[in-house]
Amino acid sequence: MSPLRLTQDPWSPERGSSIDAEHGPEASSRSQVDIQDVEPGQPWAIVTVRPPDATTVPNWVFLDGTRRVEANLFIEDSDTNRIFPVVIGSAAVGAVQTGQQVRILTESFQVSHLMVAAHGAPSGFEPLTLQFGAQSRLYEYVVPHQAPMLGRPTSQELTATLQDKMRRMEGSLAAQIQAWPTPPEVLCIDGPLSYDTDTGESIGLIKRQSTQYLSGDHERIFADLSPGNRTPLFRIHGQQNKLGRFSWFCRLMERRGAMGMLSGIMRCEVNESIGVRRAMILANMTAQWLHHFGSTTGSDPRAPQNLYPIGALEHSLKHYLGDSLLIARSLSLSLDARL
Amino acid sequence: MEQTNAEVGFVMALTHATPFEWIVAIKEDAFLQMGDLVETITKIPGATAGARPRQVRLSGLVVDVGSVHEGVKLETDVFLTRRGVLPCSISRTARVRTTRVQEVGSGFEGGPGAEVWVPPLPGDAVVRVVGDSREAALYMDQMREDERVPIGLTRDQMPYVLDFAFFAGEKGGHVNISGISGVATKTSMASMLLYSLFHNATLPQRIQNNAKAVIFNVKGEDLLFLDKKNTMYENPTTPAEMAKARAVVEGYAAMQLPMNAFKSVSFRVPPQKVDDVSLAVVPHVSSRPLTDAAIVPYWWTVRDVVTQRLLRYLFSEGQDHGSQVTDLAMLLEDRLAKDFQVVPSSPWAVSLPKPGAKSSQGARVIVATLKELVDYIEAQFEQEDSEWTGKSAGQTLMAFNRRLNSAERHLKHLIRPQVNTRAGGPLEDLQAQVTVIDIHQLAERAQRFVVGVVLSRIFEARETQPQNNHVFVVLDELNKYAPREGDSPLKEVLLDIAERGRSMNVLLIGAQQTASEVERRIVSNAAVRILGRLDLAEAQRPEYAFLDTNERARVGLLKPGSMLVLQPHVPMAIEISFPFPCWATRSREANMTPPAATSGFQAIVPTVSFGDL
Repeated sequence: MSPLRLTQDPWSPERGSSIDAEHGPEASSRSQVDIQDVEPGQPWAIVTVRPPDATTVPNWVFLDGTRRVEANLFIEDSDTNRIFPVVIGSAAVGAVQTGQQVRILTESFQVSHLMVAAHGAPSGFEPLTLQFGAQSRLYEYVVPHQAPMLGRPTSQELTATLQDKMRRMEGSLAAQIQAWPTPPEVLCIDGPLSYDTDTGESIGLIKRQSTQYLSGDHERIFADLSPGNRTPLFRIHGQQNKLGRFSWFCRLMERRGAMGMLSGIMRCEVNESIGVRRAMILANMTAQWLHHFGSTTGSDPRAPQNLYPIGALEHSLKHYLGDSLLIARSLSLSLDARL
Repeated sequence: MEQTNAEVGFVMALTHATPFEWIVAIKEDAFLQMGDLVETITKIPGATAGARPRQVRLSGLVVDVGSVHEGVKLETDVFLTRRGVLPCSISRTARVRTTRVQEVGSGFEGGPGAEVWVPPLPGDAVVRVVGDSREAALYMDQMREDERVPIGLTRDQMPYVLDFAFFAGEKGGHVNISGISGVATKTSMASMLLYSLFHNATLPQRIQNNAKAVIFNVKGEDLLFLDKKNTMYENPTTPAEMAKARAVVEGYAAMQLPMNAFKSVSFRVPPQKVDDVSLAVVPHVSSRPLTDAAIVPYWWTVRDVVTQRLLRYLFSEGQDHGSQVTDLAMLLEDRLAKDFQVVPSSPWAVSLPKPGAKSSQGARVIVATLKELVDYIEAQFEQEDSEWTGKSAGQTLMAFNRRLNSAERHLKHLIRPQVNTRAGGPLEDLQAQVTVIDIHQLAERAQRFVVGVVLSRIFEARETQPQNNHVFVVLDELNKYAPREGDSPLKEVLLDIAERGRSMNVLLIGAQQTASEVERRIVSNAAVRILGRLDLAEAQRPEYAFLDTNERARVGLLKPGSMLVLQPHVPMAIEISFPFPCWATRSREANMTPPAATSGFQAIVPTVSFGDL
């Protein structure tokens, strides 16, 4: 039988691919990873977890953020004849609770509106206020202190500032949730834990595999990975402002037909600081439950990794950003009025 | 009983809200149901009256309610939500049709406010109506205080009233009730109308004391206990009985009606069928003793038929329509009226010229029974005298004879040789406030005769001598007596009442299973339309065009005791419920034991003519 096999990515192509890294024997060398003997007494083989008794999913909280650029503007300086690109946009973060009381925690929602100018733009520029009937919305003026990353287009640089803002908001919301009088059993954050804030015991959920942490023999474990079990923990070393993490993989849907070995997998990570014992407990809980939250093909273009509660939360957060058309119209009116 | 207006939600407008129809997003801790009355007050943008902004009050009726899962894409997402995986919210809304639009504070001296046709604005608070705002929503402020006849309770357990001015002829008249037999409680509704009319505390005594009602009892003997109080609510024992009794007591209290029997009722029943019509009349009634003074038999004599020209009412069957049979009957009425002579020794009989003899002189025969009258007419036909047959063809004569013989079979006990002053007689004496005329045991031809004669006599009496008091006629099965197709003397009388009765204070409370099968002009002349449960196919017909799509569905689910009422003031059918009758509808409820068998019957009833009503 030929060793070659053509397999399919379950994701809808307009959302990119669920695997965005090169895969091969050499690719993993870029990441600093410990694989063997991270989880005490556990060889590098599938960890089977007892399935839960309950039919209702547990009371977990999922946290996510979204952002949107509303318009590209320019600050034109007629004295110096310089032009600085500007974007205005909004970021929103919020949480959703699952289980008996499944609901979107709208009271947790935080929305920020920014007017981000390119590095070097004049500081102290007047913030932009848009009017919507009797309501108004203020866009805070921000100029990055750091010089742009070499080779990165300005537009990406501006968007990155908005993204950073969103990340910081996510971090602070995660801290708030963990400070609840009765914190949730598990707090999952959509995306990797790459914040400067300490997110405590939160689990980062990485939908798209853009870094190959396992390779060669270690990667064979995916053949046996199925909903309800998990890989053993492996350690990702800290670097710069990123803390060291324990990580593991779960699979959210049964592999069928032409689905590839890596299809439907979710990488999870927790901060190394919580300790390996706690990390194992959380990992087992995700093996038990995470696939219950997985969306099904047809209901979401990034199924199953874009989990049902997160998809609903995302939709709700986007709704909170407001109607794009209305914002564009108000912006034109406001700019005309400034002239 | 003043309550504070409870806020139930806000106007929602994903599509346009209009002054006629708008949607309420219902608050999480509140609910609205079909038939609820609500209002919202909205500012008129840019309009001020002095320093204060002008506002409009839109009152309306909830005609539709719905709920939807928000934030889900697939129908099966509900399973995910139940398992706690997928969060979503539930939205509940109510569609409201405006009953009234009034500018707040614009009315002259507290009168109705100006109409300003602006839509409510999204976000406007919506409240249930209570007190004055409820009265305004239902236009009760447009009715005179002493002309409000309570007929049931709306959803909020507050009384719903009919405007007597529209019910009894001043501005409009007649009531029409539609609904499936057995579940629509048409008879109970009609009885409740009369009960409220005669026993409410609002109508002037002068009107109540002088008004009369005639009810034709077409089914069972339910209506033969109107004069007895329903004792079922007096000593309830089981929890179910107690709950029912409480609901009934509260219902009457809310309607401000006493719980009692009808205070003045007379029951007129047909005689029992006998072969020998010369025997004494025995009333045909099984649920009450024959000696009961309230039970009075009715019948007519051949002399009544001849002198009052009643022959035509023997020919009101469906199959008689469109034939020349009724023309011939009227010709014969003329002939008989012209030729008869009284027989002093037999007040029930007439003397007529012997067939073949000239009318003015010669031999005469005495006709005393219906059989003799039938034979006499047949004998006249055999003479082939055009004075008796007109231009009728042989076929018409044969058809006439066939029907006449059928009438004789079914009516011989109703038209019989006995004087009418002894123990009953023709239905001339509507002396009690309510007269129940029992026709349920009669053959159809006989039923039509009784209804036709009674109604035409009432109408004719008032045509010759106008009267100020009201006569309400309750008649079920209008589709039988005034069908949409065809003509008959009986239908003519009913049409006369429908179209001209109002000016003579003769009001029809008509009922039928299906209004679509009743003469259009009779239904359309009714100022008040009441619907009980309808067959869903019937509810789609144009006769019910005043119903919204959902109301058409609703009317198919109405339970006994619930009706939709449409009256001229209120531009929408309002759902009401009315309590169980406080009068008895069977012997058990009246604490009576049904009589064992026929007993001696002697009752003397004074006779009063219709002209004296």
